[in-house]
Order: sequence, then C-alpha cells, then structure tokens
Amino acid sequence: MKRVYLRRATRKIALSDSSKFNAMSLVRIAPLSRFDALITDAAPPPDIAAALAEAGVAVDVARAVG
Amino acid sequence: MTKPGAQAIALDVGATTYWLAGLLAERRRAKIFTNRLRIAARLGEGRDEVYLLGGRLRGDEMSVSGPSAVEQFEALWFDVAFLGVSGSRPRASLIIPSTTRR
Repeated sequence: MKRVYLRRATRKIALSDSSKFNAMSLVRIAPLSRFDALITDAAPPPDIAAALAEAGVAVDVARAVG
Repeated sequence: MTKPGAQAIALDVGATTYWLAGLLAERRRAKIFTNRLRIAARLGEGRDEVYLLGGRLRGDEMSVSGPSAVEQFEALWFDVAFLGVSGSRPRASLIIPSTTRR
C-alpha cells in the first residue's frame, strides 16, 4: 500500500517521532528521497540530517500541540 | 485538479499518524481517504466525506489491504499523502485530500 500512496499523491510527507532516528540507518533513508518532507518532533542527528538534505527531503520539527 | 490550499495526507497506524488524524478532525470539509478502520472511525463522525477502501482486513493493524484496495487507490489522486515512517520501512495508512483550507 505504501507504494500506491507514494505513486498517487502530489505531495508526500513522512512522519516520524525522534525516537525512530536511532533505528533509521543511512541505508534506509534512501527510500525517503521519494518524500518531499519529513515531519518530526526533534532535530535529527547530524548524519541523518545530512543524508536527508542530500536526498532533498525537507525537515520540519513540529512543536508540541496539546 | 488540485484547488488552492488543498492537501493530501497519508497516516500510519502508529501513534504519530493517529495523532495527526486528531488534528485533522477540525477540517470537516476535507475529503478523507483511508484504509485504516480506526482513522476512519475517528474522523468519520461529523464529516461529510470519508472514504474507506474495501479489501482484506489485517487484524493486527485494523487496516485494509490486498489487490482490491490497491486497485481503488490507483484510480484516485491525492493532494498530499502522509506516511508514518518506522526504522525499518515507510508505511502508509491514510490519505487525506482536502478541498478547503480552514
């Protein structure tokens, strides 16, 4: 289903809480290049941030709401 | 055809995407497309248009998948797709095209 969502959407946004960064290996960031942006709750570590920038994925750090 | 301000959103079954679905509850004019039963139930009340795809139910995720669900999605176009991302792989559960910005 993931591929269908990605194929049929104009804008593709990834959501991830910062606890997932530890498990987000650089190899696994490659599929994220299909996304336009990643929304998360804390700035990613430098290596992850660099990889996302390389992949052209904008990173938005959301503020807590409620 | 994407109208100004329209959005398409895909949400995972995880806490992050379910939480986002809560934020979208106030966008009552948005058209909701999802294969997640819980998200459809959460957003369905008080909303004009919620579309739940049909297919095989995965009990562990309470999500619909399979060839029929894929086929239905292939016939649609979404303004924005929000996908939950785990450490292992990106996954999708909800797509929300909205036609009106509030």
